[in-house]
Amino acid sequence: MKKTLTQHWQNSVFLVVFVLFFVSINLGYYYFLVFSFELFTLFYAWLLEFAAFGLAYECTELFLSLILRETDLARLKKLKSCPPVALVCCTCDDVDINILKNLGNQTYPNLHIFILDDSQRKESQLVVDSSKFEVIRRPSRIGYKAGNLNNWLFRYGSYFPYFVVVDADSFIPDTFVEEMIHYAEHPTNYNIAIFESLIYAWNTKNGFVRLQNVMTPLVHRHRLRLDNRFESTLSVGHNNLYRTAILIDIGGFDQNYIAEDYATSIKILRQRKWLCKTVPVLSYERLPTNLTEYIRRQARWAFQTFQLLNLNISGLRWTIRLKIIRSLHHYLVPIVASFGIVMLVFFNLQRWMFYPSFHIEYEMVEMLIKSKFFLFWIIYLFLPFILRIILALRERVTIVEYLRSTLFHSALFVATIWPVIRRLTNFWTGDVLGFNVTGRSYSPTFLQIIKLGGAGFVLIWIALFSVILNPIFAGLNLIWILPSSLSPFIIYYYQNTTS
Amino acid sequence: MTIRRMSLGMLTLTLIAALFLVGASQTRKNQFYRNLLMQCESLISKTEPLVPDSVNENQINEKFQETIQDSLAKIIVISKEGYAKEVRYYYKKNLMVIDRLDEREKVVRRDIFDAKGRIRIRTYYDYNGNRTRRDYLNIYGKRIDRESFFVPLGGRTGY
Repeated sequence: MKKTLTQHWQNSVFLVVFVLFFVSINLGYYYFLVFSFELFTLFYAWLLEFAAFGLAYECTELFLSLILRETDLARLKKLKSCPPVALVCCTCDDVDINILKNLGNQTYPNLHIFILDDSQRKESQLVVDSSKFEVIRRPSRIGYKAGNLNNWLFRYGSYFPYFVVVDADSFIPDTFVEEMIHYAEHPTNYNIAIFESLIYAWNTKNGFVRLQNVMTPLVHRHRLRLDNRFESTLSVGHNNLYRTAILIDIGGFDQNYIAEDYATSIKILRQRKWLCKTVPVLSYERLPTNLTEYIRRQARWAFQTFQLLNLNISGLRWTIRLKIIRSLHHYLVPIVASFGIVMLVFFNLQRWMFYPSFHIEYEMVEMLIKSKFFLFWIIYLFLPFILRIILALRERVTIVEYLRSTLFHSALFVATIWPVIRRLTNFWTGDVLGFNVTGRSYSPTFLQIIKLGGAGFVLIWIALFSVILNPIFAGLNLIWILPSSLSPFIIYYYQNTTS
Repeated sequence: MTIRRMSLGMLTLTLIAALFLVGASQTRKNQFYRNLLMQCESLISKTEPLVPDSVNENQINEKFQETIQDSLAKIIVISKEGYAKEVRYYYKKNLMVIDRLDEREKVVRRDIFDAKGRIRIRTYYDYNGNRTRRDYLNIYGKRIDRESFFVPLGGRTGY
């Protein structure tokens, strides 16, 4: 009872800090901006509120991650017994034989390896067969990955109290299963259904991947300090360990959604009996090595996150609800950003039509710089940036690496605006797209990059042009427009750079 | 409850917050302009007993304000042609109000400045001295609101 009450208060901390940030941002809007009573201004205020939600959530995460201590899960020093554990590897025409072979190096003595092969191509099936592990195939791909896992779960699951799920691109250290079992077998962790690991990229020889991986320590910091404490961890679906009985009890993985990881963990967490937590055990996965792969993955993630809309979340903790909303918010940002950019262009062109002069009056610039309004926007833009720098330094990420990664991520964001909007339009028009694995593709050429980014790049270039026409009042926007307009060059450069 | 319902709830909440923001902004904006108008009226009434100084149009420059000795000052600006062009009101060397005059030396426009020397309220008058409309400007000089006043029949004389 006492523990539940403490946990309840702990969860409230996140909500309280979030509300404080949200209210502070709104007070800033109130004091520094003037809104006239028009429909257009109301829409602008709505966009600002939408941005305030994301900013408040991000600042809450960063701030709490900065001040809270890591929550360590109890771990057995030595295993008294070695319960049978299954290691299941899901593959679908994306097998890598070297990675498969590596699974056989696990030090855990009572381990059984299964390859759940959904491959349609004969050559992929032959590669899987050459691995000499037990291969399980099914006549159809119903339920995609969830269906594949359920097929195994209801046939073999009852023989194993635990099972580890890895993907065809997962690389796990030799002691991975043993380490995970040390946590799972500890009596105080009896209520944890899913044990997540800390996942890094293994293919970091490519500059494109290395920069995606730079901020991963911060993500892990959030998982260990916040998600574990506020019981808001959601499964990522691979490189993790499950308690088989619980999965069987809830009817297996949720086959109704492509994001079976989120759907299944929400189903478990809704019961309030079981938890999902992250343990400090390292594992690795392959990250997209070029823009084609990255866009395919982002568009799929956006689609599958919105597919969860009709999922029941009654009984779920508020911290997890907020996290889910934040995920949806994250994939709506490209749409909102596009509206924001169009409004900026409209404002700049309108101003330019009334004052078609390039002459900069220094008094006006001085007035703008000294104004509280300017100070507000600087704080607004740089607060999360500064908090992230502090955290990055604590995680031993150098400032240069951090800045490089920020620049690279902003370039990736611009490049994915159009593909994500297109994929979400598919979703809203009722087009049911099947699951397609990220897979591997050749690096696109510079022209192909521009074609892939499409409308996103064009919109940014138009915005840059409009800011040049109106340098005094829109000049501050150059902070983000200038690097964003260089996105195709930045992506092309890092795609072809080895680290 | 589904995620859809929760997301719609969240979107509605942000919309309500936006409505509050715009509504609150109206109150604050109105308060700011009301204060400015009150300051202006009090300044003009305080300067009524003063004997105004006259200066030529070409003497009005950036350094002019520094030469004002009194905390309250009413200056009539004389144009090159020799007629009164405008009346300026200063408080502690800060320009607060300019009354633009026509050839009959009647006020046709009143510009009220904020503490940073930006015009924030502009009031127009007709030939009979009736207030016809008032524009409220933001810090960039863009009109954000306009108030029109009722002028009695026959009051408007073609201005």
